[in-house]
Amino acid sequence: MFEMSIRQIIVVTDGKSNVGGNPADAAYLANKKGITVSAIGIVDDGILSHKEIKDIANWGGGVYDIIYSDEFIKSLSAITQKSAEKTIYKTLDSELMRLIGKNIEGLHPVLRSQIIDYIDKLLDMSNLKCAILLDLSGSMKNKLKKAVNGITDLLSTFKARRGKSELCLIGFPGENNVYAKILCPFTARISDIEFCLDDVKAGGNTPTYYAIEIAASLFENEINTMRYIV
Amino acid sequence: MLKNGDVLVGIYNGRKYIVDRRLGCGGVADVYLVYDENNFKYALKISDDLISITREFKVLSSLKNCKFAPYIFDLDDALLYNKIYHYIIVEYIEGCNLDRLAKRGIAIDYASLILIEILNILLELKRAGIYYTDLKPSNIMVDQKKERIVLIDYGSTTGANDIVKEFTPDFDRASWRVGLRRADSGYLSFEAGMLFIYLVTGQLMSHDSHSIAEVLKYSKKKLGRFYIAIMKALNGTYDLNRLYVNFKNNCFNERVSLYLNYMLFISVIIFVILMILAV
Repeated sequence: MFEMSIRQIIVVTDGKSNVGGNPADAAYLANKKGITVSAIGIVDDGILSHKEIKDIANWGGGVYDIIYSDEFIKSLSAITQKSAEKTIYKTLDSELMRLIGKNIEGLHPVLRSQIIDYIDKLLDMSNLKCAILLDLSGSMKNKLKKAVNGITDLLSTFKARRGKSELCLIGFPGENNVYAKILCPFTARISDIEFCLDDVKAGGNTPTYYAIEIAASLFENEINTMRYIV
Repeated sequence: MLKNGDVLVGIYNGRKYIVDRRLGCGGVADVYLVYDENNFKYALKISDDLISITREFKVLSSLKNCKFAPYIFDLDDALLYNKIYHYIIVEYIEGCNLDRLAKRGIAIDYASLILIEILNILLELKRAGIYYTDLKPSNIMVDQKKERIVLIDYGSTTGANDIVKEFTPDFDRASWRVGLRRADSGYLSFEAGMLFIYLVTGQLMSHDSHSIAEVLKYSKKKLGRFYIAIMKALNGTYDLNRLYVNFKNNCFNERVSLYLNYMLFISVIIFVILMILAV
């Protein structure tokens, strides 16, 4: 069984990007670097741009979900799973194409179940790196508690995995006109994340484009430092 | 996605199905009532999610001789609006789901019979290495014609000690913060316990604003003799088999052990008093 690491970004927002370029472009660029970008839109106030959420997921190679803030816990864990599943599926799909000139959809339906088994196993064993981009604009203020609950809950999902899972939390916008702030760098320790979740505050506009860009660069730094160590 | 009278043709097997009406839709797939060319009734589950449909086919195929799972007939692809969709054809179950029954209110004796049946199913699945982690009233059908309980939706089942793929927060051990989101015996006991509370009280408290202790406190009266067994199940680590045995003999053991404890306590007190008197 081959080793695999899954890298993904999950954007959580309740509005529309109003600073910087089109978030879908940033998602596309990140996807080209091998990062899957998914999005969760919270629809409570009706200011959410459905199209933007769909575009981020489409161009980022991920999945999306549009929900009320009450369903956030379930959605976050489902999106993380689905997005990881999709990443593995795509990798195997292209691998199969290279090997036998057929993709998974080209196989007979009954044959596919063996590949599904393999995907399930990989899903559990692989290393998962997940960056959560949390919208901290003014409108998120009263949903923040639910969002924080959702993230702590995701950690309990991660605890049950066999592979290594790391989480990183980025809030956008940051304070003092900074586009995004890294609330917590990649860590596998739950206490780190719980610690930084305590002092999350909301206020400002929504620079989704820059946030995705910063998150993607965070993965890249990681790769560079890894090379450096080697 | 599909309308009444649409004809669905399988790409690989070439079988034809005529759509009658929609039965329901979930997050991943839609379910329709369909007829085949011989006018037999089936349920069709269709989705563009290949993984989920194939997984369900695999699980259902391994449960072909179990009474509690809908019988699976077909797995195929279909081309709709220039896009490939995947579907399975399963037995159509005549009856209603437990959600509808629970809203009307279920008497405790009847509810315990239902739960015994469900626990039995969960145990049987567990023996086959399948953990049914998304137990909720809308996934449980009561088949009045054949007098049986059927669990539907096997797309989210997992193996032992695997991560729970799909769940409903109100029935999920991790959401209530009494354990991990991992498929084990305790997880199944927990969801079964929560289901019983829902069946008996007809409502569920939200896990955001309430704790397990509060849930137990409010439902204590209605749970009656099952209170202790449910309390243990909601602990998050109770063995499913023991919960089943407990329900099967009407929580007799729990009551006996409760009375024995009382008697022990009283006899100790009498003993101490006698000692004091003797001194």
